[in-house]
Amino acid sequence: MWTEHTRQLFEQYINGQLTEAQAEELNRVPEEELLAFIQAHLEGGAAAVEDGQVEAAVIDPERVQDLAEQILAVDKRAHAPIKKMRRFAIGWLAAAVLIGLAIVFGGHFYRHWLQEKDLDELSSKNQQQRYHNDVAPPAGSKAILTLGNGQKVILDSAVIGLIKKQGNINIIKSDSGKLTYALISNKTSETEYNTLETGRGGQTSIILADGTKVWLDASSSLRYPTSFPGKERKVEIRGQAYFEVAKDPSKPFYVDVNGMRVSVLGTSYNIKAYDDESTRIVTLVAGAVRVTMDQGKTLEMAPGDQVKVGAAGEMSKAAHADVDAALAWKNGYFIFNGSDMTTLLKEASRWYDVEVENRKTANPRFYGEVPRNTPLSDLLKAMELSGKVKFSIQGNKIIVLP
Amino acid sequence: MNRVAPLLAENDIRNRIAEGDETAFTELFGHYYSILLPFVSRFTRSEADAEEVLQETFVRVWLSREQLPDIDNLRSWIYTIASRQCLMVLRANLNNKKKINALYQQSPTEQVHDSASLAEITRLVGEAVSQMPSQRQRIYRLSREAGLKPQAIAAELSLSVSTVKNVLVLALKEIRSHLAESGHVFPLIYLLLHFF
Repeated sequence: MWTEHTRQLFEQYINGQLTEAQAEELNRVPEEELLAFIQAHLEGGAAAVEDGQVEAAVIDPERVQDLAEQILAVDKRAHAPIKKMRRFAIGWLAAAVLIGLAIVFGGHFYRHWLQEKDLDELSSKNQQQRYHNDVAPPAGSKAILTLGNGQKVILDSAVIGLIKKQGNINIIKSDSGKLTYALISNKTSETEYNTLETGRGGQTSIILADGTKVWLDASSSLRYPTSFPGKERKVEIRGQAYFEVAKDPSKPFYVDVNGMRVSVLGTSYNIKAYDDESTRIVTLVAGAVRVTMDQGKTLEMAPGDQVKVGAAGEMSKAAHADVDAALAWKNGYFIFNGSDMTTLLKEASRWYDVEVENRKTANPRFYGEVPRNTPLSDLLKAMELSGKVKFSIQGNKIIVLP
Repeated sequence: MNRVAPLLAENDIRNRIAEGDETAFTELFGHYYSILLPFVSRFTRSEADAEEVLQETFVRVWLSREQLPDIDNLRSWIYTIASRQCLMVLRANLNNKKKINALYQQSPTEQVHDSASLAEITRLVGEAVSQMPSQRQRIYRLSREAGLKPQAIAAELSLSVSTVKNVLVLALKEIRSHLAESGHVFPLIYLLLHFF
């Protein structure tokens, strides 16, 4: 079911009166609730048409025929005769190996080839000439689950439904790819540690045995017990994750990350702590958390607060942080709210799985938002619109021109 | 008053679609198209996107055709897929709202969300077919490209009709799993259980 508030947001949306803030709100409504609403309205609407209570749409039969033919064509392409196909397949395989080698050598040569004058020449070219190719946004979660016994499960290709039974826990994959650890009985059984990790360009989410929800960004990992029988709940992360911790005042929830501990009783917050970025950032959305460093330094956080921890463990806290920007990855876009170019490109390289060659000395700041499900060129074009920077895409590499 | 004709003999249509009958499929698609289009349009806020949602929905129906006779509730399965496709457009629209406000100066009409999707599905299906073992590939092509019925294929290749049917079922499964690997989800189907 859905809430009255969700219904009102939909009504505004359908009437074209949704404000930007409401659009964000609607975007954050849990997927199951949105789907339930949409499905109920499709079913209700269609039933009303069939019963004759509502007038059916006027349909052009030729249009229907066209659309149907396009569908039917998906598995009716004219293929080459089978024998030819076979030879073709072998030729293609040989070519694939050669192309692979060419890319490897090409990549090495580039470093020597790209002299200053080449870069100058590139700079004077238009976008189309500078972007030798494009890089599609990633698909799938790129997530790997490692079980207590070391067995690895590749989630993109794992079956939907029950993946594994561990003690009194069922590990279930939903058709949206989310993992759920469901407690089958209250009998205590041995608790194992599992690890969920994402590759570049992957994202995934999981519901732990206590009901805590965790979203993992690209190149990140979460290590957690299959159940939480003890007096505390403890997990570890690397990279970036967003937590919605299930309330349980009797069992504090600890997240350990690279010498830092975030303790909570029930709350929502984002942690960003990539190995290749020196600053660790905790952003609190709701509730209350405490950040403790190994050395014992501690800060308490209130909603909207952001704590930054530098490489040497120095801590600073800011109120009224840009929560939207911190959660942009989870909501499917890049938000640059005065972020500097180097940070943005690191994010892009994790998402699109590309390398960055930076030939620019300045590090300009950017403002704006771009969805993540668009090709790399869209993001770079948006940044170029600022007039502060020019890029070239060559294979899986972004070159920042001087 | 513009009324839709009820879909008579739905069971018969399902059986025909399962055998690869394109006319029967077009009839099923047309029926749901006319009753769903106005409501899907509400969520996509554009008729072109609504058409695409319905195409995306029915390409999944088509590629699951061998299972149609056994689906417990075909109607709600179709609505489940359509809802998911609507949600994808809804999300794109909601994010688009942000995008327009961003430094990105693109007019909303230029925005294409994934209209390439059917083309991509076509490409992936082609890929899946070309990776099939040769006999399976031949049978599948005789069915789809030459439009032969299982009986005719069986006669042509001196096989039993049930072998041909089994191979076609396998071929469709392979196509679906290849699509699923690339993120084209097929929502779960609830099948009728036959106890005898």
